[in-house]
Amino acid sequence: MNSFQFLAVFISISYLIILFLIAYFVEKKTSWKEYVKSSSTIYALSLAIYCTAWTFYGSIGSASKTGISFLPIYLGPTIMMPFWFLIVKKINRIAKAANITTFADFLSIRYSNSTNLGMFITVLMIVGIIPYISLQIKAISESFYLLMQINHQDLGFISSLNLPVIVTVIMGIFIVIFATQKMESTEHHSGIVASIAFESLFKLLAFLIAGIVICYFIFSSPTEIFQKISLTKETSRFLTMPTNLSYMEWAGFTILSGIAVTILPRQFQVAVIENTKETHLKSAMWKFPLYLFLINLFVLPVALGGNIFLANFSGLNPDYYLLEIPLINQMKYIGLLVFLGGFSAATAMIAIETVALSNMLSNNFIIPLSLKFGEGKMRDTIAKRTLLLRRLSVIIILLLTLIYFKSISPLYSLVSIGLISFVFIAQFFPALLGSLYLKQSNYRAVFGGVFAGFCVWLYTLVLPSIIEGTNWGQEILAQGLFGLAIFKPNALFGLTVFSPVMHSFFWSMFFNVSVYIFLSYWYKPSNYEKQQAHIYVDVFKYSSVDESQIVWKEFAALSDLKSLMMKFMGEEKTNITLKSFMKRFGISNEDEMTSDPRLIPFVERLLSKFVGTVSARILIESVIKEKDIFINEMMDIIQESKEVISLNRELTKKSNELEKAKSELEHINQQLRLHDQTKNEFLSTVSHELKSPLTSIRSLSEILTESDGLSEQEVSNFSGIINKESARITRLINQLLDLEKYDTGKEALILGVVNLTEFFEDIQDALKAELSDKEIELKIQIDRKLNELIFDRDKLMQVFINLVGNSIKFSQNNTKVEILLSKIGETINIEIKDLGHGIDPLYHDLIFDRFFQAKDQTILKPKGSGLGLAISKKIVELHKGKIYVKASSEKGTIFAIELPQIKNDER
Amino acid sequence: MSAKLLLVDDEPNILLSLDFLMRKNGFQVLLARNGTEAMQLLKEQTPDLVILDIMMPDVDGYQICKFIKSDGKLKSTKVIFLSAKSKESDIAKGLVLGADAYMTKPFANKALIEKVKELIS
Repeated sequence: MNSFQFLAVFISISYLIILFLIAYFVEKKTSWKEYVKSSSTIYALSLAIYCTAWTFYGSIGSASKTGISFLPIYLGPTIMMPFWFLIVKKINRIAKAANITTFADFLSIRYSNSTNLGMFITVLMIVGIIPYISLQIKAISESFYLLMQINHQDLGFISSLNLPVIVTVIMGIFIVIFATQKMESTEHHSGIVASIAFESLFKLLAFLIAGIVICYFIFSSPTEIFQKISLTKETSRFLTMPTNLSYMEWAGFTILSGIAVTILPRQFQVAVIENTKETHLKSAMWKFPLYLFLINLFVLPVALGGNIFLANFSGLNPDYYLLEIPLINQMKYIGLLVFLGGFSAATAMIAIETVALSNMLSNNFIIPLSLKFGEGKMRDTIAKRTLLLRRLSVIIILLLTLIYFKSISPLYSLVSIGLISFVFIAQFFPALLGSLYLKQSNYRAVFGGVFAGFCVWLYTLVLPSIIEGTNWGQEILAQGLFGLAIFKPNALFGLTVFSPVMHSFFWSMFFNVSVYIFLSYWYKPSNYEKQQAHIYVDVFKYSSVDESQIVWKEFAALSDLKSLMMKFMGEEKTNITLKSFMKRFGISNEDEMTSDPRLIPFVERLLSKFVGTVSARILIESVIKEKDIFINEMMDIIQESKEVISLNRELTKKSNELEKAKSELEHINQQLRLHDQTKNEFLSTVSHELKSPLTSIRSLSEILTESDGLSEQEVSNFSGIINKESARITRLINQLLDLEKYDTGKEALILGVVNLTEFFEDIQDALKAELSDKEIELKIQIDRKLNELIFDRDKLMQVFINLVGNSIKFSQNNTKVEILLSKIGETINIEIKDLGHGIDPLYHDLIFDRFFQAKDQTILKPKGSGLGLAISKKIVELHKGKIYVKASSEKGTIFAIELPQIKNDER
Repeated sequence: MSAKLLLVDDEPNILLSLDFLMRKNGFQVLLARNGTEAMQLLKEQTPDLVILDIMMPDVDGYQICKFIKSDGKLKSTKVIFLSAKSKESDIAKGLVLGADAYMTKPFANKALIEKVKELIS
């Protein structure tokens, strides 16, 4: 290996390491991650993954033979961009709302029989895309051999490295590290997106630099190239519409490419799954076409320049002009740059396409299968195995790619594989459009349409290339199936005006769309499909964008609608009405009724009889719009506030605390679910109590991140409040956790001998700030006979701090609070006296209930968290004692605690 | 002249951020830290719009809304309830009392400002 070869290998490896580092640091550093998520340019650059090695090398090859015929592949996306925007905006909205992870998900969730549909789509997608991935590997290894300037026969040391395998393995490691870390495949992979954007930029620059070098340094200017070519009388062939390429064909390719840019799995992955803001779509409408324009700028001059060289160097491969022209002009380093450009185009494509396909394979194929056929045990462990399965899927996809590469791909050229893939993938487009715009659409239609298109594709495009490659079945190609000329694979029904690819595209889409539309109207959509049709087709009606977050107005739960109806009609009449509704529409059970799209309009009409149409609309909306906030939603809000907060560096620390709070909430949620019904009221109060601090946090975080020109003091003031309110949430959650522990009996007493003097000194210390704030004196009187007692020190400490804290809160300045401790018989009597304004006798028992305002029918709000006394009561009861309000008047209150004395041997 | 808003909330920090937001958007602002203060202010002033919390320790938001809607002087005063209460019955009650909008906490700054602007124009 000479020094240049060594350098080339070294730089290629360094390039890969740079990609790793970009992905790693973006994932790691919050501020970078936020930048990647918020940048619409990075989004547009990631869309440029559309330009693979096929663009990078292949379009020059194609231009060198047929001139401007390479253009539709890029004109398509450019012209289709407005449609792309409309379609992808809709898909995006649905995908975000329904947590969709793959294209297969997107279609299968829309229809009944979703598992089978998902598998069907997955298998076909893999069949269609694998060749395309292996094309990239082919491009990498071919360009590498060219760069190394070694013959395929004379590979020597390099061949023992087995380049394609190495590249595949490294890509596999990259994907496994950065794309399969998280359980949710809806999570954004900002690291990968960043490195993809980098690669897009890199390949563009490499192409432009090489283009400039070829046009202005190797030749003196593009004019020279065109002049030289015009001497060969070939100009018209390259710059006008070739005779063998009709306008229809051009239009066809334009449409085909426009479809591909919407539906290719990698495009779906970057455009939809990795999309973080809906507004990114808007700017992508011009940024992405601009990119396509730039990367095609030098295609024609380079292709024609290459043709000029071809006269003297007959061994040149037009597909690699961009690489070979610098190389034969002794510009090794430009060649290296071009190689890296092509390398980045290929690796980016491999990475994202593999992520998309492996998500599909694991989520829509392997996991559903193992759930269906797996043993009971399998079901329990599936969550734990998800990551493993996703990694396995990555390996399967890459392995299939390698197998294809070794066994089949040597038979075909770069361009033909790409186009065959395009035609195939386009078969899903009618179903996609139908899902978005056609309420009649049903799963039989989707199956039927795609399958019909697939068969025609196989027959008209794949079969002929197999026949050409193997010499088998020549008579089918020449005379048609069963000798019937109308069944000729290359001229189906006598259609001969198109090229083979366009011919196949035309007929496969023709049958696909016909079968799809026919079956859509032949079969009725199921109830499930009707409901999903409403959500998909009218997604903009049911959702709104609240900043970057999409708010989903779910269908109202039956119970909510019912309770609304009962308010107006009474229980009996409500039940009768609903029963008649079920009867009228042939609905057999309540579950089915809940999902019936006709229910809401029905209830609305009914209510409008009582309150008029407008009010009925408002009432229904109030049910549909926001059901009582459940803890899950609270977690979302916390998560959201956390994300906003993490933008601000000063607050990163707080975001960790909120993270902790979130996981604790998850824990509570699980516990609470067990108690379900009885906890509903409690839960709504909890969520209400959490909302106040969250409201300040959210609003102030938004101010901090969205307002310009805040003064230093405002920033620190607002951040300070956010800190305090976060602490308030944490405190509340801790109290809730405590209460849960007492409720479920998980908390046991830790008894010990406690020195009373020290104990009360500690209490005094803990309340020092509160006491001195209001200049209140805390007097403690302990029966002289007592100096040590046995109890749970920490827990009773909490009780005293709670009670005395309350007394301080409700006392006037400059007064006093007393603690009296005495022993009568075997009972320890404790009294806590204050001179506050007293407690209404009505509430003497109620104040020990958690969130006592929950029971309090007036809506007046008590001060404090509302949990302190409830916890105190639990602790006292755990000591087998009791706590109560002994006396209360306008002049003060006495709380009493009675504890049975615990003997040493009872411990 | 810019519109005058009365902001009523017993959570000082929520009041603070409302105050900041509304002043930043060019409104004149009156603040009330509880129901009593709000009633007092409403007897002296005629704000164009009131942003009203519901759960407050003295006079609750529903009563204040009732007062606004029954007082001839405050005929053109709009009311937005801004409350953590998000049950359909609470919302219905608020709207039945004549409020012009009902928004739930935690709120999005943008959405609230848009609502205020919409009601005032």
